[in-house]
Amino acid sequence: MSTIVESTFELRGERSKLVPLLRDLWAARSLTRTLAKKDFFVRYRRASIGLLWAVGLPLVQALVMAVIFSRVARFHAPISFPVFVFVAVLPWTFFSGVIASGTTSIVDGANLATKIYFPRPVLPLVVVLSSFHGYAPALGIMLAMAVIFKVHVGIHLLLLIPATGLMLGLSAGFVLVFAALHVYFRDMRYIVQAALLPWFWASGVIFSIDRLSHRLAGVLEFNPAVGMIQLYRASFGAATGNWGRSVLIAVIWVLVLIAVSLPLYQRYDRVFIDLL
Amino acid sequence: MNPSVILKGVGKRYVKYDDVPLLVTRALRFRAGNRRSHLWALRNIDLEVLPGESVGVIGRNGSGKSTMFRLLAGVTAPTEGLVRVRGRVAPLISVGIGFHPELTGRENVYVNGTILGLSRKEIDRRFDSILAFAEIEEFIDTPVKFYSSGMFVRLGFSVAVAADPEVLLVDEVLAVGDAGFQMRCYDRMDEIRRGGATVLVVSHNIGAIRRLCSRTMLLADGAEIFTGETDEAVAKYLDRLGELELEAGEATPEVQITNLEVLAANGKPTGHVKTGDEMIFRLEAHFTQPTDEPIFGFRIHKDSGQEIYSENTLVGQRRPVAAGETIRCDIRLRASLPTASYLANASVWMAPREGAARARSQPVGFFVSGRPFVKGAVDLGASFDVDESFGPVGAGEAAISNGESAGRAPDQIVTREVIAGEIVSGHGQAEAGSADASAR
Repeated sequence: MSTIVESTFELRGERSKLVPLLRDLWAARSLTRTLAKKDFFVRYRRASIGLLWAVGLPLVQALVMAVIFSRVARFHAPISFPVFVFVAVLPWTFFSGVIASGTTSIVDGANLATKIYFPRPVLPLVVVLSSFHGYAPALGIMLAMAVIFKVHVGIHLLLLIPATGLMLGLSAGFVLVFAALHVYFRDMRYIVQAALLPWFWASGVIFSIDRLSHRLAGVLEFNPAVGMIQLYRASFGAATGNWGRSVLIAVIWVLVLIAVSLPLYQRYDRVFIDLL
Repeated sequence: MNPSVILKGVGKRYVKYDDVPLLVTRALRFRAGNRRSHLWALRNIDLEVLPGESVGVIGRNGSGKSTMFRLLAGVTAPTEGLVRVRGRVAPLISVGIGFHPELTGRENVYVNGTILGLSRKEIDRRFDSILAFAEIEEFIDTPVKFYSSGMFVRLGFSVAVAADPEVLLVDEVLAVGDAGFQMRCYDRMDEIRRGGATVLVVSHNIGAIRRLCSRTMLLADGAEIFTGETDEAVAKYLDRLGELELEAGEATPEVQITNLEVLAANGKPTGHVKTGDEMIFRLEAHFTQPTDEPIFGFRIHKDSGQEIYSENTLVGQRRPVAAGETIRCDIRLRASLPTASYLANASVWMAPREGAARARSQPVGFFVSGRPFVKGAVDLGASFDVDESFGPVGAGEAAISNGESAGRAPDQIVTREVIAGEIVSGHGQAEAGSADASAR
C-alpha cells in the first residue's frame, strides 16, 4: 500500500482546507491522466479513422478560414496568410473547445462524483488533458504548413513551449471557474456558448488586432486570448504591435483565474454534489 | 484499538431552491434572489466503528441513509460535527459506475482501479485475481456494453474488493448478480473484515444487513433512533414501518378497526416469519351500527408500496353484526414470500357495494426471512430436478430425423396410416371396455 496516497480524511464543516485539497489534487494526477485518456479514446474509438478526426477537425476549420478570408476579405498578414490563420486557429480551437465542453464537466461527472471522492478540479482538468491528446500531431501539421508556405522558421520557434503553457493555463483557469459556477448557475453553459463567438472575433484569430483602431486594439489587449494568439504568432515571427504586453496581460489572467478558483473549490469541493 | 470510522455530532443540511438559480436572473436582478429553504437530512449522529467490525445502517427511503453513505464515502462534508475515516474507502460502486460501455473489460478494470486509488502497478499485480473472482476471463477484451448485467456486476465487485480497502462501503449493490456470486461476495466481505477492514452496509436490504452486520444503526427522518444488536435494530425498523403512512388509516363513525396484529401459527404475536410458515393476521373491528353484510379485506405490500396480494370476503361467508359488537377476524395464510420486509393493512366495509362506509387500519410491518437467492414478488417454492441420464436431447432428435429423411417418404405415409388405425382400434377397445364395465 506504500504507493497509495494517505486516504484518511477528516471533515469538519463544508469548507475544505487548502493544503489537503492541493495535496489530494496532486495525488490525483494519475487519476486525471487515466480519465483523460479514457475520455479521448471513447470519443474517437467509434470513428473509423479515430485519431485523424481529433487532428483533422481543427485543420479543416483552419483551412476553410484561411481560404475564405484570403479570397473574400484580404486581411494584411506579415507571413503567408494560411499559416498566419492556422497558427491562431489551433490554440483558439483548443481553448474554446475546452471551455465549451468543460463547463458542464462537474455536473456531467455526477454519477461518479456522488459515489467516490476525488478532488473535483480533476473533472474540468480531465477535459483540458483529454483535448491535449491531439495536440502534438496538430503541431506537426502547423510546422509542415510553415515549411510548405515558406515561412521563415528559426530560433523563435522555441516560443511554442511557453505558448503551449499559456494556452493550457488559460484553458484550465477558465474551465475551472466556469465548471464550478455551472454547478450553481445552470445557465452558465449557454452564457459561455453565447460568449464564444464574439470572443472569437475579439481575439484576432484571422487578423491582427493592430489593424483595428488604436483605441479598440487597446481595449482588446485585455482579452487574454489575444496574448495567447500573439505568443503563437511570435513563434513564427508573425506577432504584431506590442505583443509582449498582451502576453503579460494573459499571464496575469492565468494568475487571477487561479486565485479565483482556489477559494471557489476550497468552499465547494466537498459539497458540489449536494447541488447535483 | 483506534476506531476506523468516527462520526461525532454529525449533521447535514441541504439547501433547497425553489427554482434552479440562473446567473441571468441574478445579474439582472429580476428577483432579489431565489427563495430557498433548509432541510436537515441528518442531525446529531454519533458512531464509532472499529477495524474488523461490520456495521449496518437501515432506514426507509428519505431517512437520511444516502446522506449517511455520502458522508462515509467522503463525497460530501457535514454541515456540523466531525466525520473521520481512517484508511482507504472503497465503495461498492453500484453496478460499476465509472465503467464505460465502449471500453473493454480490461480497460475498465484499469480505469476503475485508478478511481479507487490503485496505481497501475498495483492493478497489474491484482489483475489475475480480479479476473478469476469475476469469472469473465474469456470476455475481458470485449467492450462491456456486450456484457450481461451479471458480468457487469461481477467485474465491478471484483475490482472494488481487490483494492484491499480499509473501509468497504456497501449499498444496494448486492441485490444483483446470480446466487453463486452473491454467496462468494458475502464470503469475500467476511474475509476482508476478518483481515482487519471495516465493513459498512447502508441499505434497506434487511437480508444483507443481517448476514453481514453485528451492529446496526436505525435512522428515521434524519435522526438516529437506535444503534445496537442487528436483530433489535431490525425489529425496531419493522415496528416503525407499520407507523408509516403507506395508506393512512381511515376511520368512519359506523366501524373502527381497533387492532391488527401479526401472529405466528401458534397464535403468538411476531414480526418475523420464515418463508412457507403459516401466519395469521388478527383483525378486530368495533361496529357502532348494525349491518347484515360486513366485508373484511386485507392487503400486503412491499415496503416500497408495491401491492403483492389482497383479498376480501366479498364472495365468502357473511355474518350479520349488531351495533356495539366487536368482531375478530383471523386471516390465515402461508407466507410464500421471499426475504424482505412487508406491510399489511386491513379494511372493513359496512356493505358489499361501492361507496359503502369503510374503516382501514394503520399498516403493520413484518419481516420474512426465506431461502437465499429467491427474487421477485413471491416465493413459489420451485424445486429443480436436474436429471442428466437422458443425455443430450437435441443430439438424439437430430439422429432420428436424419434417418427418416433418407428417402423414406412412402414409409412415412404408411406409418401414419398405421398409427391412425391403432388409434381408431384403441378407441374402439376403450369403448368396448366401458361398455363391459357398465354391463357389469
